[in-house]
Amino acid sequence: MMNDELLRYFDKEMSEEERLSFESRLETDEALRDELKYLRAAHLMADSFIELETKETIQKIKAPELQSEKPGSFFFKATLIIGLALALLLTVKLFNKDGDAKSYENIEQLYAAQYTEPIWPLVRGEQDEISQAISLYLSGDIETALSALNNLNSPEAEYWSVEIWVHAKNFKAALEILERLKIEDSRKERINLLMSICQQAIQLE
Amino acid sequence: MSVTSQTDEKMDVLQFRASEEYRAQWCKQLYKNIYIRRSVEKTVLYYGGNTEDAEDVFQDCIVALFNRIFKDVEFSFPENISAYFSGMARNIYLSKIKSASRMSIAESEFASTDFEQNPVVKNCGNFAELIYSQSTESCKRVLMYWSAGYKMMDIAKMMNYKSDMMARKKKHECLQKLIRVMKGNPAMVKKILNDE
Repeated sequence: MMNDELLRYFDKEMSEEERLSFESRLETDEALRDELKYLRAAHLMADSFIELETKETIQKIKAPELQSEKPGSFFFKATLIIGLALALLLTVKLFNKDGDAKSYENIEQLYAAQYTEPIWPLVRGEQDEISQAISLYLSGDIETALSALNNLNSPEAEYWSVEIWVHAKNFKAALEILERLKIEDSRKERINLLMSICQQAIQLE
Repeated sequence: MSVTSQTDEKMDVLQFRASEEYRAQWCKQLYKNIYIRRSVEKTVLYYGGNTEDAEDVFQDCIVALFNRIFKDVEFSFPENISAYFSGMARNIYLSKIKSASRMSIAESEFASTDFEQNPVVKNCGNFAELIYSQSTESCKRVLMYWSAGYKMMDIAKMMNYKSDMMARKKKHECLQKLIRVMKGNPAMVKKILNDE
């Protein structure tokens, strides 16, 4: 339960007398200071919403333009369809109890409920470097695969490193890359799903 | 809202703050406006950037303008929008190259920091997007208004609540959910607060 007094203090709704008394409590009460820290973080998070909303709107305006640039691209269409399918599967809601990590007893349960394996980009015949690295992973050599992807030093290779880490259930490593990954619109839903799984799994670990 | 090639049309700032749909209409109008886009491009090219930089800066300008209109109650929509965008583009682009250390100290003194990216977006952008995309519409709205410092009475009015008590209750409920998510991600909270 959130401390009403704390919220009133944060929102500057206290009288001078109340504020001084509350501040002296803050000095000695570590738990209260901790609550204030989370409230400040939540405020900053909420403060970012207008920026995120505007960026999302711009992406929506741009989306038809981008789509018309590559109408025949099979990969583009396939990614879009997969993205939409995943969006439907994405029943994880942070604001909904079903998505709370506490709903799952262990990572296996979380996996069964939320994780879907990606369509690994394996091509026959002449393989590109990413396909080669993924082939290595799927044949059991995770170390060489990740090292090869790391050497490519591209957002595409980083994305596939995340897929490998999540598949291999190393959520911290995946999350580390996810935080700096530049996300393509067509992959937004997939990235959100992976990120959500990682965060819930870390809580369960 | 009629869309003109020049934005000589006046924005209804109150409606802008109250309606996401209205904001989206304005966003589209500005984004598609060739005159504004050209003025930004011209500015960025003048300072040594390329067309790709100009596109990024143009988007940042829209984000910065919307932030300002939403959060600054004193703000009134600029008379000459192309000139306003050109000024913003200059500041934003110079700030960008300053942070990328592509500018001399003398030049950097001219780079204003009027476009300060939110530390959450800057440090934990993907996490913020995840939370944003998974919040309910009403929670997004009430928390946006709360963080921008709107009075409960105004929030109630904009959200069509019968009383400010209802707005307060909603804010409390949404904030509690958000804090619960934050508590589940202490590493992210650390990152968010470090940059304050």
